[in-house]
Amino acid sequence: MAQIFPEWVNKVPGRIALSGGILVIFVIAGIWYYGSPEYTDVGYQPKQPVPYSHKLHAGDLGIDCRYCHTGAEVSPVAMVPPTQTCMNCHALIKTDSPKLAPLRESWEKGTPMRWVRIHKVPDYAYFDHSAHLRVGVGCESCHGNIAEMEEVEQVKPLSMGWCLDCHRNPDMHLRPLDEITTMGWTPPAEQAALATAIKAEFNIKPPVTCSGCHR
Amino acid sequence: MMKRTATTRLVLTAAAVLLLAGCRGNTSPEPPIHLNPNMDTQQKLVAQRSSNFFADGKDMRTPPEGTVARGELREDAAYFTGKNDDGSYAAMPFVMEAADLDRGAKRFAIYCQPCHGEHGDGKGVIADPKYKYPIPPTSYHEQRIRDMADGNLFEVISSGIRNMPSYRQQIPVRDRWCIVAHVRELQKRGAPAPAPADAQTATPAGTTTETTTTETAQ
Ligand code: HEC
Ligand code: HEC
Ligand code: HEC
Ligand code: HEC
Ligand code: HEC
Ligand code: HEC
Repeated sequence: MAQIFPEWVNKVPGRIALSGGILVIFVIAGIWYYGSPEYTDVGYQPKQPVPYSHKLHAGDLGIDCRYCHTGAEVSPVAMVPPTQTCMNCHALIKTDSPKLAPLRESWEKGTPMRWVRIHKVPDYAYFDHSAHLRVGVGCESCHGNIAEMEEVEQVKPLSMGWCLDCHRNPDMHLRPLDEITTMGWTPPAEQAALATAIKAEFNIKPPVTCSGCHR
Repeated sequence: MMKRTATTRLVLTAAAVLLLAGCRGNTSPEPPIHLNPNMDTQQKLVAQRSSNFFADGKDMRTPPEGTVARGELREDAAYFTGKNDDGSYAAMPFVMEAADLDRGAKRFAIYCQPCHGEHGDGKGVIADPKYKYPIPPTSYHEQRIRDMADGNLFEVISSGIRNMPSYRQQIPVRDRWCIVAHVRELQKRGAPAPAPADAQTATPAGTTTETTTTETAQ
């Protein structure tokens, strides 16, 4: 009796299984790698309507973060400053700079500046700046060295795993309250003792249960 | 033949993966793409986001004229405006504890130091000639400022004066009083002695070093 299938067909099931297996591994690895916020979110650096530079203002001029981000210590949102705050100086400095034209327009018309939002946790998760700043977690731990950035970029993934890494062991990120806005702060040699003292002083208990952040 | 294409494909795929892998953490002006954006952005009112519920895009409504929100009555005129009921400038409305003075010093460093300088002598970073700030910020060591009532200083912070902007929005009322106390403290310490020209020429205005403080502290 003649063969219905040629001989190579014998290998087909094996090949299908093998390539299927490889494909599954690739898909999983691909999603794990490219779907993670480390890939999708880190490095987001949108173009802003005014080429505002943190390097100049917070770095060279040495203006404290809280001069502009007034909400950081007292409310959940740090707040991007209103036009008024820029005009405190720019009503008199660089009054004819074309770079500042959108700012002056917003000032004259009373319309808000439309800064592009960079850091964002999803609306189903709860984040509060004041809870972190009151216990001595510095801006730098979550935003990187902003005073070195011409344009702000996101340097941390802001993923749930990242939040929890710190909540489980915040020791390396606790500083004296006077240093929360300092950029380029290096933990002292006795950081462990410092962290223990800060934790005792404020009775720090970062939430690790779901309802702490998904409320 | 079969074997060759297979290896070429493998090599190409590996190369592509490596290339793309290099993109992790690179900066990009494009908004992040999320695989599952289901409830990332919800139809609710969130601070600093515009909403399409009202035509003007704001989610907070302006309160009607003549209404007062709870806790915002502000009956204590001396505390909230720096002026007594008869229009004269008030004295410090509460007793300054050490903690308040400390708070004042720190808030001063955030909000006033860029212009008025660490010692209140008007030599903040902004006053550096290279920024062409046209009006020198007033030195607190002028007799006129020394003679001002506490309430008058409070009003300057709250409402601004001539070319100085108002800090009403940025600084809460209590902190403004603490800053006033710190200004008094600076005046007590006195103006720093002008730096010896030879030693300090390289130091730009506003970065007067710690040593000058100790030298002049009285
Ligand atoms: C002179 C005012 C000013 C000062 C001082 C300042 N910022 Fe900002 N900051 C802004 C403005 C305006 C924006 C919005 C435009 C942008 O993103 O560049 C901003 C944006 C940011 C953002 C991104 C917000 C987002 O959309 O996610 C972060 C984070 C930030 N600032 C942190 C800091 C830190 C940390 C410091 C202190 C080292 C600081 N800023 C000092 C004005 C200021
Ligand atoms: C404490 C004073 C101060 C505040 C507040 C301030 N700036 Fe500036 N800004 C300066 C100084 C000083 C310069 C540098 C001017 C120079 O280089 O001569 C500058 C320069 C700039 C420039 C570059 C202008 C040019 O033509 O090169 C931009 C853009 C700018 N600021 C935007 C902003 C924005 C937006 C805000 C509000 C978030 C702001 N600034 C708040 C002091 C300030
Ligand atoms: C514990 C981590 C953490 C620390 C510390 C922190 N931030 Fe943030 N910041 C975030 C996260 C997360 C977001 C996104 C918040 C959201 O989407 O609601 C954010 C958003 C912002 C924004 C834009 C949105 C907003 O809330 O107004 C600004 C501006 C900002 N941070 C400034 C600061 C400054 C200035 C400091 C220090 C004084 C600081 N942050 C400290 C994590 C942090
Ligand atoms: C660098 C360290 C660090 C990171 C990163 C961090 N946290 Fe925290 N968080 C803390 C500490 C420390 C506390 C404890 C505060 C306390 O117990 O008073 C805290 C407390 C909190 C609380 C409790 C606030 C309250 O009112 O009780 C919430 C909610 C929270 N964090 C959310 C987040 C979220 C969401 C993220 C990620 C986007 C995050 N945190 C990232 C250090 C961190
Ligand atoms: C420290 C704060 C924190 C705690 C505690 C926490 N989460 Fe989250 N969770 C987050 C943040 C922030 C995100 C958003 C992550 C992102 O954008 O990638 C998130 C995302 C999620 C998501 C993904 C939703 C989606 O559509 O992608 C799920 C599911 C989730 N959390 C479940 C849980 C469960 C279950 C627990 C308790 C075991 C928990 N979380 C505890 C902060 C927290
Ligand atoms: C943006 C720069 C700037 C900042 C920040 C600033 N000032 Fe001034 N201040 C000025 C200038 C400029 C003048 C002089 C105004 C004039 O004579 O036109 C002035 C004047 C004054 C005077 C003298 C008022 C008078 O009657 O002559 C006092 C007092 C004062 N400032 C206090 C403060 C205090 C307190 C703060 C911090 C809350 C502060 N200033 C922050 C720029 C600034």
